[in-house]
Amino acid sequence: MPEAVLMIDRPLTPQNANWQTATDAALLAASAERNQQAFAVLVQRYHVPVYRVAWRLNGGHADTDDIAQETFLKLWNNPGQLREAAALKGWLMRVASNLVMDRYRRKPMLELEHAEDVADAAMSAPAMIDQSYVTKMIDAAIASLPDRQKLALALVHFEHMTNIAAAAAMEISVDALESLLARARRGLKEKLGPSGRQLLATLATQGE
Amino acid sequence: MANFDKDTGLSDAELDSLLQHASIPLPHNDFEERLLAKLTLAPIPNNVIAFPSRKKTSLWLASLPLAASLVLGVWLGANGTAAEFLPFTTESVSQNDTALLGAQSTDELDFLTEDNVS
Repeated sequence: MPEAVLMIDRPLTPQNANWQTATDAALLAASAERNQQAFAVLVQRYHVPVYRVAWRLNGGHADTDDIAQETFLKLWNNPGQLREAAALKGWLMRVASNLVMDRYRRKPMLELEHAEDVADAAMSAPAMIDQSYVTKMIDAAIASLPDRQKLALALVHFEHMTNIAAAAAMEISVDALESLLARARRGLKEKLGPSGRQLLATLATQGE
Repeated sequence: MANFDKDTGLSDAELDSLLQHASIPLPHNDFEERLLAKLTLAPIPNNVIAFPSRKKTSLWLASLPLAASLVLGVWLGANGTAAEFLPFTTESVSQNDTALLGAQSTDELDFLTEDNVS
């Protein structure tokens, strides 16, 4: 017997104002009943942070888009995995990070920048002028951190999650999360090294 | 108070300042459209396992041994003894003993002491 597929008879974009103002719990409940409009609102709410975390973890690899989409498909296909609507964001972050790490184990990814570029303190002045280069240096330093440290940094620093929420998302204790954060920051300082000061000086001269 | 790193000289505030200049990636504009289009192809999850319903045991069938046990208990309680159901009864044993001792009944045993028996 062929597998049943959903038949769509309405536009997929969330036009319904009721769904736009609905809580995550209501949206999840509706999504569990295969309501695509409700699910579209969930996607609208969380796809940017999910994408950012995946991007941060895999160093900006082209797979980021696929990973973010796969994360939401997992939610769509099995909404029962999520027990509490309040934990939705953390759950999505965890699924996305697990997907990244699984892919990373299967095949090494090409990083944005090579690690040796980050450690290079003797940069030429013209190279330092470009602010996008500064951004790349910082991104590369973050990308070279171990996965767990990178994830902790992404959740707390870039997604502004509380330590408690981030720890819950990573399924670790708050103490463990703080330890990861401290090591990540120490690692970044080491990787940026003296060039960190130069980067700051460059930013200052550019009107920071 | 700023927390300076011994080797690099970068403080926490400086590191935070640098981190503010990290990339802020954004998904493609058609992210939602492509994802929602994929939903149409996603099969309806079939993760509900239909277990066969358990056969209901008849209440009467289950209560039969209980009722029999209750009747037996009442009957034994009313009769006061289960001697008829035993291969030999305590009554016959005591009668044999009194016969050996020459007593007529168990009441006479009250007069017997260990000294008398020996």
